[in-house]
Amino acid sequence: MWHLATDVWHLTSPKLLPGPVKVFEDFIAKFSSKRSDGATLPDHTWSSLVLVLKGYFFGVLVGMPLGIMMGWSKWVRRFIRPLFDLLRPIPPVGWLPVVLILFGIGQEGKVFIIFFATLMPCVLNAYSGITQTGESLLTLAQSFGAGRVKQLFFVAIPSALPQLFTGLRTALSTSWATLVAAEMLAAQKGLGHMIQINRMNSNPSYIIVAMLVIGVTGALFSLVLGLAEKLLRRS
Amino acid sequence: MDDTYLSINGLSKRFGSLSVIEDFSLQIAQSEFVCVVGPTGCGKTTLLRCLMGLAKADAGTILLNGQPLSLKESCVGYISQEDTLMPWLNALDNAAFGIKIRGTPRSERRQIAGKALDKLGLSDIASRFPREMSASQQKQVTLARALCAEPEILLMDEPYSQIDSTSRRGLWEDLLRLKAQTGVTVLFITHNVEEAVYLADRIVVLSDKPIVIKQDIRVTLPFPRDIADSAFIELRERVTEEIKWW
Repeated sequence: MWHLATDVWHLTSPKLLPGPVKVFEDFIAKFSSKRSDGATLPDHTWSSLVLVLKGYFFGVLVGMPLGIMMGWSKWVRRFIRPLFDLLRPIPPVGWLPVVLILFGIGQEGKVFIIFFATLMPCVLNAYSGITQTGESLLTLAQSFGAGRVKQLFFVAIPSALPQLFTGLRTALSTSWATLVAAEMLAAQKGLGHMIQINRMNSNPSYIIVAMLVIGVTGALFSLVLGLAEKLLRRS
Repeated sequence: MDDTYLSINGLSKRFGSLSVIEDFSLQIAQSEFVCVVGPTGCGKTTLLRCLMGLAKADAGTILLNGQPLSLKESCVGYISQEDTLMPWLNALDNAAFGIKIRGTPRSERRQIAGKALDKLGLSDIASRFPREMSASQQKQVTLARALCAEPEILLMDEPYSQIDSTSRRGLWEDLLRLKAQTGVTVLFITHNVEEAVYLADRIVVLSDKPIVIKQDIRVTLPFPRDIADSAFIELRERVTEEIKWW
């Protein structure tokens, strides 16, 4: 459809929406060309990937245990939840001005924002998954002598696994979206920066290339998460 | 009773101002199959929870072979009416779940669980997940799981109440066969008088809360029991008469 609309029927100007052939040519060229935005496609991709992975890693590292503990312990819930409810409505990009003042436009600030973007879905899904653990399953584990720790690891966490992975997937897409937004506002390299600069330079082909790279990378991450979930379920 | 194995003495449990169990006593001999019948909400499940230590009794003692009953000492198996198979585990791993909690090594527990499934004729479904099993197969796996832990006493809380009558007969036979093989003592709660007469060595009829024993009936019918037998029907009618006031 895209090819027909652009290259065959010429429904739109190539300056507004280039055809897939032109996008593919630019995709190949961008592997070695720094034209238009000062970096090659692998440079942009690597820069974004490193930021996402750092922020995502720390977000998951803090968010999952926090959500699990909030779901499992009424004491943790009592102390953390009010603070969490206060922070939850703030969109990750809403932190950007504060982060720019505190960290400047370097990597740390963007990692912090991605951390925050990852934290919320991880906490919410882990919390919800753990609280939905069937009472009868916990009683059953108790009947075999399981204490609270064994109930958590043998029943609650395995039972919440699908929702924990939903949290990981949601966090992944949120972290990419946040990264792009952060890079569009303040960056010298990265896929968000590539989109922003090429928008200003009226180069839609490179914008589409960056969007496709984000989409494909996100899909690959989702695939890896899906495989990890299957492996964990089997073990 | 001289050969008392499970001894419940003066058990009391209140929820606020509501007295559910008050000064309740029951003695059960080793390898005895005792069915408890009582009206809905009379406190049968609370009684079981107290026996398992999941609910703390306000007063009274529960002794198994002269020692306080303890879940951590592998002596109690529990089967409830709810679906308690772990949906993420297959039949083999579900059967091994209890002994996994108790720390049995993986290879050993798989071997024990495999044998338990085999005894119940479930080897073919060892790799199936609960969603792929029928309701009666799920109940059989639950029984296998309880027996893997080699309990000294099996507490069963209306385990077959949601099973159709045809499948239920098969489950009763399996339970009686395994009970005969292992010699396990069984305390079985049910609403179904026919089930109680079919399975029990003794039928204990409870009153409404606070529960007291209304009738303690020894069942002397020989096994295997025939539900069409006149003595069976007579006993069923007698127990039904006892619970008519419900």
